[in-house]
Amino acid sequence: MDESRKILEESANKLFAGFADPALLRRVEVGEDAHEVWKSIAEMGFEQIFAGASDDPWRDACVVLKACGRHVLPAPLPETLMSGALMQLAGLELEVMTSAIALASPLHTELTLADGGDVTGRTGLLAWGHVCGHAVLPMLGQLLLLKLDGQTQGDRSIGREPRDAHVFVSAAPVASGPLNGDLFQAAGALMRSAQMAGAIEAVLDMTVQYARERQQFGKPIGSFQAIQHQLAVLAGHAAAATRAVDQGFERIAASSGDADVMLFEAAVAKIRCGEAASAAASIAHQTHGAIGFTDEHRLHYFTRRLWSWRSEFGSSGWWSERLGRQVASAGNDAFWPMVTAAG
Amino acid sequence: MGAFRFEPAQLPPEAETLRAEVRDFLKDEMPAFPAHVRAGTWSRSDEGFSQRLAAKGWVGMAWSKAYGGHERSFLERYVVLEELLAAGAPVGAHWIADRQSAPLILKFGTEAQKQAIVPKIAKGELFFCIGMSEPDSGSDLAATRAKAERHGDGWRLNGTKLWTSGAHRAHYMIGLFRTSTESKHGGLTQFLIDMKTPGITVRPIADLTGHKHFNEVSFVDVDLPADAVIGGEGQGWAQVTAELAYERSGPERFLSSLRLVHELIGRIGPRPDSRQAAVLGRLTAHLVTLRRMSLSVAGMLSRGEDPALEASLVKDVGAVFEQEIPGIVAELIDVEPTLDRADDFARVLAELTMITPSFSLRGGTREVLRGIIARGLGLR
Repeated sequence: MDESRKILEESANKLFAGFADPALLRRVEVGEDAHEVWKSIAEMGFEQIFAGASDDPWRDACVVLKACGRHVLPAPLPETLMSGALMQLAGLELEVMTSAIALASPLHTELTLADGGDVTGRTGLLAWGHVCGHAVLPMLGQLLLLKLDGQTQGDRSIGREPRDAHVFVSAAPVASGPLNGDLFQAAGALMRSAQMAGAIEAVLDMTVQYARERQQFGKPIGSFQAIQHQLAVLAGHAAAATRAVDQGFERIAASSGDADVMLFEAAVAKIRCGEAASAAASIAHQTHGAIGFTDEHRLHYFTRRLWSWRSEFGSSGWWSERLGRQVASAGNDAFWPMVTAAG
Repeated sequence: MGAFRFEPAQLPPEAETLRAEVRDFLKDEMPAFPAHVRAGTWSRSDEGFSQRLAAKGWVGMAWSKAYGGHERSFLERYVVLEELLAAGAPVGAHWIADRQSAPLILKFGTEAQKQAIVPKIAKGELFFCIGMSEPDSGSDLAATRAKAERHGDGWRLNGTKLWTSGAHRAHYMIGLFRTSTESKHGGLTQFLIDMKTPGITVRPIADLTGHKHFNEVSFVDVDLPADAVIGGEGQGWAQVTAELAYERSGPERFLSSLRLVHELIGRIGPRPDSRQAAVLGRLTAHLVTLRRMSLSVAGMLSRGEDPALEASLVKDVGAVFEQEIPGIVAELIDVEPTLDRADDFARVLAELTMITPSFSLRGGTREVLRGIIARGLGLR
């Protein structure tokens, strides 16, 4: 990693660590302070990565998104950042982004377009919808940027983050540009994968530390082979998740956001990270015992988000099926070359 | 924590040119080998194949030209290895000598040993086996009891090595012997042993498939010259540990069931149902990710770093992957695996189903690897 990216990574981790305070997370989870938190995060400027703030936006986005996951940042920074990526791909002139932007999954979005270009219908669940001023949505090969000022129907993820379906009635898009609708799902999957990779690293650190400190039978539980081997498995998943994500963003950067590369990398990352998230949450809870199952302990802020994120923007199974169809239709002779071309 | 570092490793452009050359070579060579032989890949030996490969300059690739090597990078070597394994080439004859014996001699051996041995390995003429495990010393390698005592000007060996792959065709063994009982780890020494030396008996052991590739090797008053020691007397443990980084880091640690994935894609055809597609997609994502992890380790080796920890982690994750494939395939496709008159799919499934237990035993058991990983995490 080059020097400037290391500095970016360090500063993101340092700044985000300030928000990983259980008291703050709890307040945001019951619906308090979300706007204030977003305001102070927006002052740092990370959401502008695709709006001219970075010479190498995909690689920079990767380290920032992982840091968001590592500190379970309670704000729509990942969504705003990746909406910026999609707007850039759709050829929109990105001025400084002034609001948080929600990113819609095409899977559950039901919109119709009137003759005059107005949009009517309902989005799927938008992460942090009511905190966001705008949303990007897929519509007939176009990306639409819409203002979110209508009616929302609030729900919450397992992470108790807002997931708001939004209803548009004859809403006029603020801007639009051509974009393959599948890329919404890809961008969302890449975003959630990077967050999962970061959160899994945090869960590994937390669990190793607990195993070294917690004493039973007169010694740290981490000295028992049964625990050591479980943590070795967790470390394997953590390394795999991070490697899948890092190389995915690396290839997307090298291809300047090529659609096929994005879809392939989203699949690899979401499949691998989703599986790693399940294993990591399970091993971390087993190691932490009853205390890790309490509201008081901070582990659940990570594991509840891992359980949410693994399902969002396509589960492992959804992406596996999609990737598997591609593998099968390309045939046997194309398989190994496809693997080696993925670097 | 930062215990594990998996930096990206980009293959240089010349590696991709090389890949095309290897694929061309294999296109001519591989039709001669049936699918169930290809399924065995580096556990299958074909001395003629090894020599043709050496003639292309693809044995001893990263070694100095002074010793018959070709001074290519570790990453170029990685590309050749993965292409050979992916095609199911029978690379077993020279595999061990190329992977770890020659690198060990180059690192710790005397000038005379290097001159006498390494160029012949690079030509595909000398094959090696590794004498580590014993009847009472498997995962607990430091419990080695086979002993070497000073005798006249040289050494006299007595004891038994077990599970020695390829001993029946190897010209040499690099064997770990106890030269002192005063220190468990410090009393071990590695020896370069000509397998024709009187007193050595090789007894083949059939594995559960019926193949005889590993052996029991007994030593009864085997006399070696003084210069048969490799590296330092009492340095065996440290040298073996360094050797294991080579043994554990390669693409053979996650590609063992690749032939079955190929057969599966062929069997499913271009229009999979949703279960079949989901399995193919999942296996692809795991394979791509493992290869990226493995390439990172190759990158570390090429930069002269010590990837022992990362190599153990890749081998552990890789073994889980390659080991689960036959079970997944058996559940997905309703074909009975049979041995004799079956089609390629059924036979490859049968072959790989039987050899999967070895994947998490050879080159360090799952339990040993997870112990090493736990140490890397600071738990022991």
